[in-house]
Amino acid sequence: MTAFLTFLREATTPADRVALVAAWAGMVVLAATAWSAPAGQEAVVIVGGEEVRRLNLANEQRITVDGHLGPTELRVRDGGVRFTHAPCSSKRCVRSGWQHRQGASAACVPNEVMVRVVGNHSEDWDAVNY
Amino acid sequence: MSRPEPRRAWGPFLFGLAGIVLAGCQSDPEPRHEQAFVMGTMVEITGIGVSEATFREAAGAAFRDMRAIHDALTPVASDSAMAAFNRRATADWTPLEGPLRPLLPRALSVQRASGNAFNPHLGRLVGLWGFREPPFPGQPPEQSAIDGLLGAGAGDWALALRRGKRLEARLTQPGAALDLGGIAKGFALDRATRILRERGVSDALINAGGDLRALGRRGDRPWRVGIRNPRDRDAVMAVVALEPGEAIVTSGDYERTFQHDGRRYHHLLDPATGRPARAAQQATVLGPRGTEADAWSTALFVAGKRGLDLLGPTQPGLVIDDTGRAHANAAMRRRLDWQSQEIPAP
Repeated sequence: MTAFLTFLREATTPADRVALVAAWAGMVVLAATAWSAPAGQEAVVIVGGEEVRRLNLANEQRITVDGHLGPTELRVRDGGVRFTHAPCSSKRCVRSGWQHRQGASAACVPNEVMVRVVGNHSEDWDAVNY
Repeated sequence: MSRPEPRRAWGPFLFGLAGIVLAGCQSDPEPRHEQAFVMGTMVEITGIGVSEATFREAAGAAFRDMRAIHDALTPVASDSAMAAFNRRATADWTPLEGPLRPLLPRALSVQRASGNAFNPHLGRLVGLWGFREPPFPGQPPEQSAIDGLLGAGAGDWALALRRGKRLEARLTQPGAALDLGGIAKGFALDRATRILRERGVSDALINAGGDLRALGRRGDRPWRVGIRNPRDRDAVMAVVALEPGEAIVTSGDYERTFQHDGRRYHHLLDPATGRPARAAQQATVLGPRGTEADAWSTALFVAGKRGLDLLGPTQPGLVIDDTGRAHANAAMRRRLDWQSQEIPAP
């Protein structure tokens, strides 16, 4: 260790050492930020292929958006989002339940409304096959 | 010539080393998403490392092509190319137009290889069951009606092709009508992949209602896809890393369903019985083309675990049988990162 410090002192100028300390400190901050990011902080609401709202999943709320067939209700609670009412006939979107995980989505296809959970946490997979 | 000062030689090197490490710590490139409601489902395209303008234009072109495929192949609209074909083809040799031209030979090829487990002309049976579009009926049709269609050859080998100046096809049984719901989405995935590539997108994942095809990679790693547990929509059973260009398609008994007397009825019909196939809960196929992967996932679902022998040793296949047990060929076992605690790995 002493040998390394001696080498470092002889091989660098004071300005080099300041720059090195700043660079390594930045690396530590970046790594800590990346590893501590929570999964799925937001839900993107898409109507007809266009994003119309972003919902913070930390805030309990109910919202209504106008879909192709009519008003569609979404609910946010406990970090998840779900359809609670839709004017479609099959109600598959309502039955699909809560979406929590980043990348999870539910859609009311005839009504052209979709909700997808997004975040900056790296998941184990990019999409789900079914 | 004097030697350089050690501090001038090593300072930039150490600073550069810190920069390289810093660069390695940066987060993944931000994916771009485009989505559209086409082919009766939600289609999402995720792209990496491409400008917003290029990606948006390419995704828009892919969605337009998917709409054109849907419009040509929908059995619901009376003016679609497929409806026109069905009206003529039991009486005459009929020239193949639009997407029917490349698609029918490939559909026939999988029908033959799968021993009719994939049957592309169950249209009248699908219509009888009411599975063409929601809302689905609350009860199954009369057995006599099913028997009537089976007697008219609905589940038999009924598709014939001939190549002259044009490619023509004919349906040889009066009970047959084309229904390409088991292959059209895979075909659309393939076309979308080509369109994206031609328009400058080299790394993307196309997700057509849960059927997927990869283009390139997701930055420095492959695209990874979770395969859903057939009995728990919130759970992923296994994860697969897709090769560039590879498709993954799953057929399951949980899509397009209704319940009657405590029993689930779904849209994947067995050509032999004219009723929903019961050998599997779910079947998954990987392959270099979405078209064949889509058709084979239907075949594997209908045939159950015995379908793995038909699929062959090199194309990866996974079946969850009617008891919930997993079966896979060696090609698939090598690819699976099994996650489920409830379902033992195959």
